[in-house]
Amino acid sequence: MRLPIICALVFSSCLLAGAAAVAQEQAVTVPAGELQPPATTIVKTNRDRVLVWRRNPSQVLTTLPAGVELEAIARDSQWYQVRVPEKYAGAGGAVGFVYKGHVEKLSGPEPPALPTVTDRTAMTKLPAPPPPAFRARGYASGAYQWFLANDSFKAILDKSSGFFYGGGGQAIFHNIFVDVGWEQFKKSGSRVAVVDGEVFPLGIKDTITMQPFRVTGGYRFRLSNGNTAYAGGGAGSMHFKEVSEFAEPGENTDERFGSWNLVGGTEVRAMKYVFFSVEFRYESVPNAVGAPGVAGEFGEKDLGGFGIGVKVLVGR
Amino acid sequence: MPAPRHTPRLATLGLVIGVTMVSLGSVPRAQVPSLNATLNAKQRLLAGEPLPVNMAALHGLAALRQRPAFAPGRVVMKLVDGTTDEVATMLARRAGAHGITRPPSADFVIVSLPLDADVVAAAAALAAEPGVVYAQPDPIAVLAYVPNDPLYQYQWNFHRLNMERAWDINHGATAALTVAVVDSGLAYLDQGAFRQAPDLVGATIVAPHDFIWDDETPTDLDGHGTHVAGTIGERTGNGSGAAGMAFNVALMPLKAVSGAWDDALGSPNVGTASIVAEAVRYAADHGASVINMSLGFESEVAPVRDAIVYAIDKGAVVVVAAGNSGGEGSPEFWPAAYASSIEGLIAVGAVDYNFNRAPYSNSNAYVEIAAPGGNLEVDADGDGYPDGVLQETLDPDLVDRGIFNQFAYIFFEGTSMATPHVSGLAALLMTQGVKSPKAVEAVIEHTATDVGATGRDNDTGFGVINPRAAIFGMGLAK
Repeated sequence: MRLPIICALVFSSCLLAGAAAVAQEQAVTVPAGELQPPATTIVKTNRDRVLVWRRNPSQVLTTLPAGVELEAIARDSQWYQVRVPEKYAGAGGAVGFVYKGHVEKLSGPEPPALPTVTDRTAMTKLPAPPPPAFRARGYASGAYQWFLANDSFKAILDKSSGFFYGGGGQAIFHNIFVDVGWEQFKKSGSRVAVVDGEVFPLGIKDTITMQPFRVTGGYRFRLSNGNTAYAGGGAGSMHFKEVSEFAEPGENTDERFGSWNLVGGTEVRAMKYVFFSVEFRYESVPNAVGAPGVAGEFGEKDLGGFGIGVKVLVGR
Repeated sequence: MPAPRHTPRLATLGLVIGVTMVSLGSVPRAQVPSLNATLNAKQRLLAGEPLPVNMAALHGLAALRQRPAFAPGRVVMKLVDGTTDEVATMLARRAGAHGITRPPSADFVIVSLPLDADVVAAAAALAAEPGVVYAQPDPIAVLAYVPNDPLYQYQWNFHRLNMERAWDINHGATAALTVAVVDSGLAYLDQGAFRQAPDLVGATIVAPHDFIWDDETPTDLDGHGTHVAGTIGERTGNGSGAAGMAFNVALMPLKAVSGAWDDALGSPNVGTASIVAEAVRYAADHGASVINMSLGFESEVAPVRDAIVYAIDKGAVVVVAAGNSGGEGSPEFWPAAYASSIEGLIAVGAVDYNFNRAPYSNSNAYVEIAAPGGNLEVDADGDGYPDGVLQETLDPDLVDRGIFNQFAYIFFEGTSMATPHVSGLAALLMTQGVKSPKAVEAVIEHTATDVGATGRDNDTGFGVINPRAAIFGMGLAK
């Protein structure tokens, strides 16, 4: 019984002695008084006007020229936390953040990740407040429209399309919107004779004015890129006027017709209270024209059309 | 201003014979002046010589009024393209003819037969020959009017057509557009025995031609042509006289109808279908945009039809009278009867003050449009004068006495008078921008005021012309 115990003790002593020997081999022999500090990471600015930022709140600490060497003491995603020398940050220097792409690492390891601050007392980021349930904005609009009665307009105005301009207002309640708008189109051409579809301008000035009034409602939805798309439909009226030179009483036209419309578009925020939208629309003004005018010769009755428009909206 | 006068149809002639001739250059009744052998009678009139006629000739005028239907000794023949004159002459001689002549501005030849030859039979024989497209007697034109008297307040026709509103839009067309008047000539010339009608002073005259006398001075020895041309282009707004529809147009007087005086003075030609055909082609070749033919024939006239098609193909609208035999069963009248099958040829009937068919106006399937032609039997407008169409022309009483330099405002009636209203409207439309003859006809018919039976009818065609509606056109809605 004594022999195994004696062997175990001898074996253990040997192990301990070996470990001590290894430890001695690994230990760096540092001359007395010359302890090495931990490795630092040095980076250098690689362009002029490199901004160094303070956080919470975000503000520029200083602007560095190219070639400035900085000690990177931590990293946070695409940023280095660096010490800025007194020359650039004033007495005592400062600590700030510089974008990794604006510096190049000269030496040292990648600095440690910035510890997550779980208890920040400065400038706690509050969650974004929800949008107000109700918003309103006004707008100016312009649109280019192609007329459904294209042969008739081409006969009189020599063009089957035209530019409308106007404005209106929108009310938005959550994702539902209501748009009330008014536009105008006005252009002069010539009265004509039509024979078997062939048009002969007669040189008598004929001016057409169209003023659509639309009330449109629909739904808005957020796109992945942060913009807003919308679609809807509505109704309205079209004020149509046609005035000819040499016309006698009853020969000019000044009437209103019912209309309906469909619209779809996208809206982007340009500034805090300014938005731009581009939309496609279709409008129908049925049974508005016909005989005895040119529209009757071509069998066209609808004063509507389809078009593309732009709005500049101001509001919330 | 002389008061308008009413000259009853043909009644004037009986008065003239018993009246002493007015001195023109003083020709006593019994004296027959010697004739200059190198000048014809018209040329002598142009030179200022006195009228070389005597009482016998004046009596002869009555006989000439009873004119035969066809020109004696003449057949008009058209041959297939490429046929030589030698072949044509051989064919003609086989039919008993002396020979042939080929007039300028014509696509036919004239076969010359003895004056007492049966032209109908000769034409039938020639038509049966191979290589002959057609052969027919050469009919003599009949003027479609019954003459009478004029002044603008008395021009009910223009008031009823609302011409003043039309002139607001188009002030009488322009001199850039030419209207040819194929008729008895025009009183446009101040020379010798002739004077320009005072209410034509300032009118633009282009390419005049006389196919009866074969010269360039189509002087009117009848008065019909001057009256017809007046409805088209009588100077308006000049402070005198009467008005015309398209008073700024250029007029092209083409004398292709011979009157009694042309016959009496021995004109080399008579107003036949072949002559009229030449005149129509001439008009087209010399830039006429509208050709007015207040005349017609009582038989088919292939040369005139072909000339009309030629003119339309060159861009001219051709307007023709429908005929004045409405009270005699409306026998067909040519070339109006071709209108239904030729776009750009417009056959015109006549209406009275109330826009009813005038009693004399033909009622046929070929009547396409109507215009005021007048009715001398009534005074519906209550102006104290019979409802004829008033224009300035040669004083018919003095014309019968051989005086061609005195004018008066005369009421005439007839489809001859209706026709130039449509020619004037065609001229207005063409200056507005409707250039195609087919389109001009379509616009005139489409904008006409429907009268009588609803829609198109034989009395008035598509209705009475509405000049303002035609030239005002259409807007998008109205």
